Amino acid sequence: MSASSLASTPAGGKSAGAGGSPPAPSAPPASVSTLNYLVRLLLLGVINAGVLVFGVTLINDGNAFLGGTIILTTLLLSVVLLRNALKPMRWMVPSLALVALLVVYPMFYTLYVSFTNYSDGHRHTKSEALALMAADKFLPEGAVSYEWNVYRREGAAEDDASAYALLLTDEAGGNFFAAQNTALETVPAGDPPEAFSGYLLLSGGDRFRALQVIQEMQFGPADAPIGIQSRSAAGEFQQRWVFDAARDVLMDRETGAEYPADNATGEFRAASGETAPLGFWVPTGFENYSRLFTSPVLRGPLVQVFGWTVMFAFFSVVTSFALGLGMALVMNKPFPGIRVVRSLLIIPYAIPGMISILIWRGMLNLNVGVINTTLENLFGWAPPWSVDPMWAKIAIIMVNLWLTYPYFMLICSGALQAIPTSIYEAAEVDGATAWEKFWKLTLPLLLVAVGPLLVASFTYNFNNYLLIEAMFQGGPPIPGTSAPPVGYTDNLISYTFRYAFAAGGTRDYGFASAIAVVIFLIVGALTLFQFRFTKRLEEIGENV
Amino acid sequence: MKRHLILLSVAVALVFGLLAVPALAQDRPDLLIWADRTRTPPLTELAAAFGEEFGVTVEVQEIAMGDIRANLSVVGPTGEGPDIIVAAHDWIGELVINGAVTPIDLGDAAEMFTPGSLSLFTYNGEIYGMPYAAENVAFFRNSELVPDAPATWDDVRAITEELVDGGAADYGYIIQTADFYHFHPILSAFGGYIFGTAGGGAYDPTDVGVDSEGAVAAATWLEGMAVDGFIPPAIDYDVMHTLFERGDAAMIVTGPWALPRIRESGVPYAISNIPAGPAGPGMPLIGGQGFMLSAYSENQLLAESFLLDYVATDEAMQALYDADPRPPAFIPTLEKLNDPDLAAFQAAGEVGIPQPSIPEMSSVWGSAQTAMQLVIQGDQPAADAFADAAEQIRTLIAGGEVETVRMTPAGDPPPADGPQSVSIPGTVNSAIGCGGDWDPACEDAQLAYVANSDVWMGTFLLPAGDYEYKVALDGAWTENYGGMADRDGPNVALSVAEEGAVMFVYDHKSHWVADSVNHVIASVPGNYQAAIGCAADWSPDCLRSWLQDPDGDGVYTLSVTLPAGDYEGKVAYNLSWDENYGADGARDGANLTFSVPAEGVVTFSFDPASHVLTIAVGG
Repeated sequence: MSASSLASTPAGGKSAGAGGSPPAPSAPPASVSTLNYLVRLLLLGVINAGVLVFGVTLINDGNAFLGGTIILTTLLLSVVLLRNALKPMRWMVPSLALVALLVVYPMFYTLYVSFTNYSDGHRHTKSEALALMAADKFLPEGAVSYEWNVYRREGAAEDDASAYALLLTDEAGGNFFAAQNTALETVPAGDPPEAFSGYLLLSGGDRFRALQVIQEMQFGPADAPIGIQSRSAAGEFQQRWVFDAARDVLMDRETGAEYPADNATGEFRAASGETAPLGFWVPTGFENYSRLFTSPVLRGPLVQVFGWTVMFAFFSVVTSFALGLGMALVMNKPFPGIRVVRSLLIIPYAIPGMISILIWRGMLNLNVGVINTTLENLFGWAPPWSVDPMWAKIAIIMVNLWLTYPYFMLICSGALQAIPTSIYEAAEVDGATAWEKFWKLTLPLLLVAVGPLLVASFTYNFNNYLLIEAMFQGGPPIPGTSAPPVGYTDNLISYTFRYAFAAGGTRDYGFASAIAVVIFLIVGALTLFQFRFTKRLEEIGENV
Repeated sequence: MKRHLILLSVAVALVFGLLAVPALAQDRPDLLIWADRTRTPPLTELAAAFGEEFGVTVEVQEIAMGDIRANLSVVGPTGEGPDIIVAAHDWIGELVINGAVTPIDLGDAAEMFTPGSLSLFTYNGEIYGMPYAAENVAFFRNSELVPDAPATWDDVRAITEELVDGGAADYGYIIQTADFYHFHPILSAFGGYIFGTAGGGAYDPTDVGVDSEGAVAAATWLEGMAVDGFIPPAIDYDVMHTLFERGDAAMIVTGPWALPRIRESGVPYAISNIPAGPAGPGMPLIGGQGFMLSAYSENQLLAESFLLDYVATDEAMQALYDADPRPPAFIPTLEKLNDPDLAAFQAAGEVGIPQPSIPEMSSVWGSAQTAMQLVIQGDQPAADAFADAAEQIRTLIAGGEVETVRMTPAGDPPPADGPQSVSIPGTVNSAIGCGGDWDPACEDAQLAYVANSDVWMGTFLLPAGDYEYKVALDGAWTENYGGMADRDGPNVALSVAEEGAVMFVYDHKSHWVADSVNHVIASVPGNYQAAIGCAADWSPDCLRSWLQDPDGDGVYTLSVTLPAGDYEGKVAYNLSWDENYGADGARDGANLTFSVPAEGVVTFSFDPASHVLTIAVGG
């Protein structure tokens, strides 16, 4: 006999009673409905317009992926809101939209990046890289570099850019006046004059404001224009890197060298093997994955690291669940001061994890930590936490226990309340001991509710980077390993993170994404397996 | 229900509206500066004063120091990025390869900065930032416990022994367990280095000196201190300072950033130069902060002018110093300061070297710190720990690829009538970095033509294992040979017992390919070599006099045609004199002599078992 069959009886009876005459739907007055519909349309239109602008801005900024996701999400949102058939969906839409933006989008983006060479030196698209290199100027041989001062025609309109002129001073001290599209005019040597043929020398704020306008302008004769290179140099500077799109070749006009684009590797590479200053990112297929599977990471102590990762996740969940459950059981029966005790016990959960970890790290320090100095004073010995592999692992599990038991205490308290007392009464009639009641009734029924949370907690701890890195940075180190350095408490994520960002001295996002994808697959497989296991528990629950 | 729908719509509109507003707002200030927490307040004040005086809006955004570098490349391309960033000098390498910063033309203002600070911001011959502070570590001692500054690291050890054994203090000199930055002064005093320098003083990432003789000597000193219990493990920055400030430790190495807390603690201290070692003075690494110009800025000229005309002034630099007292790089401000402690840091920094800003430096820290930790914890002997670290660093710098080093330099242009390329396809391919096995076109498995020897050679680092290979010409299987100079012959088996360098040599005249595992690579250097086309006589590396064994009978032979004359020769292994055999197969023995009565063929036969070289003249 189950609870659900009990509940269904009155419901069935009610529907049977009302079955003869279903109440007519009370249709609202048509005018209200139309107005409502119009308002709804208008609002949606406004939202969609805003999102469209936002999305298009993103796409224009080169972030097509995010822009597209946002536009698509909004489109789905509109469909759901406008179609009556999808009414039940409306309540889930906001959270679904956020899931799409904050979970699904990053996931696919990571997957996408893992198939590219996006990394330091390849951080830009081809056109961005070309635009950046186009800013590089050089002074051709024989051309003169001048110091410059900026002038402005007296009485010119405020937005008249043609009113600016430069006074150029060459190394010998010769002065030349350069208005726009006119030949240079020699000016007597010496300090720049305050005024020259209707132009006034700009200084202070006038000069600073002028800089924004004149930095891209050209002065002097139109056939040999003089541009400003920097605060102290102007001259016939020319663009150094010129891209010939037809031939897909980047030319260095200073040396005359040609750098054909290699669109497979994202480089401009000359025949000499030299590359242009900037590369660009391109899809590289499975390159990152093949690199991962042939990398020294897999030849390093991966078995050790993986074993500890699983062990850490497992023991973290088991210990904190056991302690949390113990506390919950103790507090299942009221006693004086229970509220205060319960509040106090939740505190570790309320303090930000990073702070707790740092405090623990300080307390466990071998030289000045309060725990170790106390133990040493009392017993003359204290565990060498950060030095000995075993004690380091114990310390980490201990700290994680401190951080997570309140969570399980809260969950278990709630779940214990949900177990009907009647079954305990029945068990007592059958003569069950307290021990038997716990193992045969409480725990299985509890696991029905808490099982999926245990799985989630395992998954979380499998990828727990913060604790591992903040406690001992993965240490103590394992001697005699090949690259990268690895410690006894390194887990999969801290180990590969260090590798992805230390190899070659640069950040390789493509490669790091490939690692993330592989870890995701491992965690996904483990989680799937565990959910199979918890399903079996649910069957137990259904039979109660 | 309908009302809920409207509420929902409004909520969604708000959410997206809020997201959209910053993207749509194009209300950019004329200049945007990204600064970290300590630099933001003084810069904000400067920016406000500048805006008021000159009518140019300057905004300062606070970004965590650790995020500025990474965010610049992400935000820059969208046009929302800063014009100026506050930066540490060792970011330059990474920022430059991403094209995120642009050189700054200091012009006349360059004279106002200390030369040391300018060298920090110089990369590939260009100055990429306007420095404002340059700092280095110095040697701190508790002036009550240690009245006189120790001159050498041996003195440091002697003082430590005296203090600890005498019970005057718990610790003498202590160092952070895993901090290579603070270890560098010791490393350099014993002659160790991180990267060697190439021409022009630039760091050379191919010369890693973490396992150099001097580095091992420094590590051994550290090991001695640790083994005798003077340097305990598990010391981090805070623990080190706490022990020093309590008077429990007598000597530490630290930087000017720690001055406020040390002064506050009231511990009597004195600052002196880093003690010297057998190789000379202990050299601290010099680091610096400064301002860099974003390459994405639309207002570079204004940004440059703001820095040089407004920030590079005594008032502004003084304001920055007051907010965060680091030794100024701006000479007028530096000279004005009358702080004996900063002067002491300045003095200690005179022998300092710039902390490498090449991107490869980020491959160094982790491994080098691990080595220190292993030595201090007594887990591994100093020489082993530092050798492992250097090996890890080299692997990481090589891109983390399989540890394969191609040791042969680029070859000479091959003769037009022979093959244009020669490679060793086989199961060795994937071990030396190719995408797959048995690929004759793989770039990584190509041998280089050496004109002096008229052979094709390549040396590869192979992990232990059983391999097979062949030799193939011109990147295809069309013409290929097995191990007996036999065209289309069977594969050559190669069994590498221990990871190491394996040399492959192919002679297109005989079509024989040899490797240094299955064969001895031996030549007959002598005074006849110039006559057969070598660049010089007595060159063991000229393989025109290579002893070959295509038939695999274990006897290596060489036939050359020589003009009449008296000649001498020896047998040398592996292209060097290190292992050579003379008369009667004696190692380092006397030269073998032979006479050629009339121009004719001379045949050398060599038995590697007995090391005896037989010379037959004529026939």
